[in-house]
Amino acid sequence: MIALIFSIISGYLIQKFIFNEKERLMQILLSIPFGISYLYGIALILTYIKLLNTVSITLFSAVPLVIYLIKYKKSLNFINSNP
Amino acid sequence: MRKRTKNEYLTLTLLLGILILNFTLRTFPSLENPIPYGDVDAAAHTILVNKIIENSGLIEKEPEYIPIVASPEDFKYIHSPLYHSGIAALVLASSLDIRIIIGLITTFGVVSLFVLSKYIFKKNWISLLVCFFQAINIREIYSIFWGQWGVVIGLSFIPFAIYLLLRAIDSKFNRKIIIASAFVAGIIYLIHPLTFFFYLACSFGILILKFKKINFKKKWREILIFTCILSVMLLIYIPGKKWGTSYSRKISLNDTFSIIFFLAPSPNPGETLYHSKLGYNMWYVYDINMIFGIPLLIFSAIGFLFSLILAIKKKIKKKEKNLLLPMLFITMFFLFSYAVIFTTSSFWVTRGLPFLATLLALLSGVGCLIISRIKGFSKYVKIISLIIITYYIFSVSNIFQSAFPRLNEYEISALNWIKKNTQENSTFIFLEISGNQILLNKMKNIWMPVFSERKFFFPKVENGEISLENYDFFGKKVNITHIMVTRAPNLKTQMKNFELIYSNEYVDVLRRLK
Repeated sequence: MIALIFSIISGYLIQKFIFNEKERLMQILLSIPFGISYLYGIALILTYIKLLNTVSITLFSAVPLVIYLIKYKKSLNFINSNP
Repeated sequence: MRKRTKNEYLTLTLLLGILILNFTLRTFPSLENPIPYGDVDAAAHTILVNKIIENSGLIEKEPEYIPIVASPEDFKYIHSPLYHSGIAALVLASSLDIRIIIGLITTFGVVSLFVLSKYIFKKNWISLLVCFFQAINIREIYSIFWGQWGVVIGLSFIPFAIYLLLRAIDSKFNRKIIIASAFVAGIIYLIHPLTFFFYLACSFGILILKFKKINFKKKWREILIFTCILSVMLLIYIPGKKWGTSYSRKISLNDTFSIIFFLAPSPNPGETLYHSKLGYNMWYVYDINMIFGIPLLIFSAIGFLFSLILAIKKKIKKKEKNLLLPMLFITMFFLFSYAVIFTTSSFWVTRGLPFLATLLALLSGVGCLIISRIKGFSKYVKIISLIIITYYIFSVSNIFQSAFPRLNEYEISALNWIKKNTQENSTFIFLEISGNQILLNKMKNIWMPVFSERKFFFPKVENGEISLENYDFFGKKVNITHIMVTRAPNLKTQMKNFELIYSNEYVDVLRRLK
């Protein structure tokens, strides 16, 4: 279930990156199809490299979230270093 | 500002209700009882998903015990890879049953449809009505119940792909949207090529409407990016030769007309004898009222008429241009489908009927919008909508009476024993005895290979005796090595050439003596 939640969060981040939608409702709704499509993308790669299992799906589904957190942390450090 | 937020909450709550309705209608048999059910297609798909999970990836050859395709010696993997591996990934990601996952994917399709409707109509209540019509898409519900068709799963992605394409054109070919759009189109193809065919039909409709808006000279790079990504994804999977020749079912001209007018004959009369329950009989019926319902057709007709008037007009308001999209989608759907039916007489295109219901739901949105604009009538539109919704809920409630024949727990434990204790090349027949009669339980026979991973054939009775010779899907003679039989002592004494190897409270397993 964690992988599914990660995928939907990733979907939210992907839609934010692509559209930057203003309406909150659309932001929430778009994260679902983006999340499922992202999971299908992962499935495609993992199927061909024969690594389709719960651990790898969970790890891959969290990639956009990790990238976002790294970026967020960097921007946070930048704010802190500027008094 | 506060009012706007309130509206958003109301829309979200109503949409959530529709999503729950959509999910429940497609999954209630599995929520009641986790033992799988369905026709031969459903069993075959379950086997493939299970094999992909077991193999941690793509399988090179389909298992020989798949029902209807038993014993193919050089049978390559003919199914599009992403249908099964996508479901396998979701099963692994969520630990849910395959049937529940399929319900979830179609629910995601409804969310996409809401997003697309909002883009076309700009009104939440119309989008909600369109989604409601999709949630009660009976044709899709039955296709999922009995076949779990890849086409239906792929169709859930089409509204999202169309939305991305429209947004890409509106944003003057924003590269991020173009890449996402090509990627989702590729996913649709990899789930099922036939679904991609319907996506192509819709894209053609968009191209007709937005042709002037696309600056082909300036945006050739973006178009090239789209084509390249899509081409790479198309090249990943090319259906085998067998897909197009020996396995494509042909239909007669008579049937072609029946299908076009949704009047195809009721299921095989022989089969109805064994499955006289409502659910199974509906599986192959193309009945106009069952598929769409009269109110949806009335709204769609109004929507179609308005779209035609709008199309004839010389100057159309910019805001209203998108209202032509549903009509264009339906026109292209029919044009593309008829082209296939008349040129190849192929049966497969009829599998897009659930999508026709989706497109009609979109077109009915245009009808609703027009009715709401009529002076004096606008006040009652929401009340009328409520009456229609109540009508549909009562008519849809019939499907809860559907029967889903399943294996029982004794049969499943016997099949698990067979999987562990018999040779892989063993061949079986299953005899269900009631009094002095042998029942041909197609549903049970279909699901036995899923649990046992062994080939099961339908029992054949010749001159009052059970024949132990059978034929596989390719017409090759097969000798039956084992019999699984419900406890019937009279019958077993006749089987002198067999020895008992397993027994439980309900079934016995017998092996042929050498």
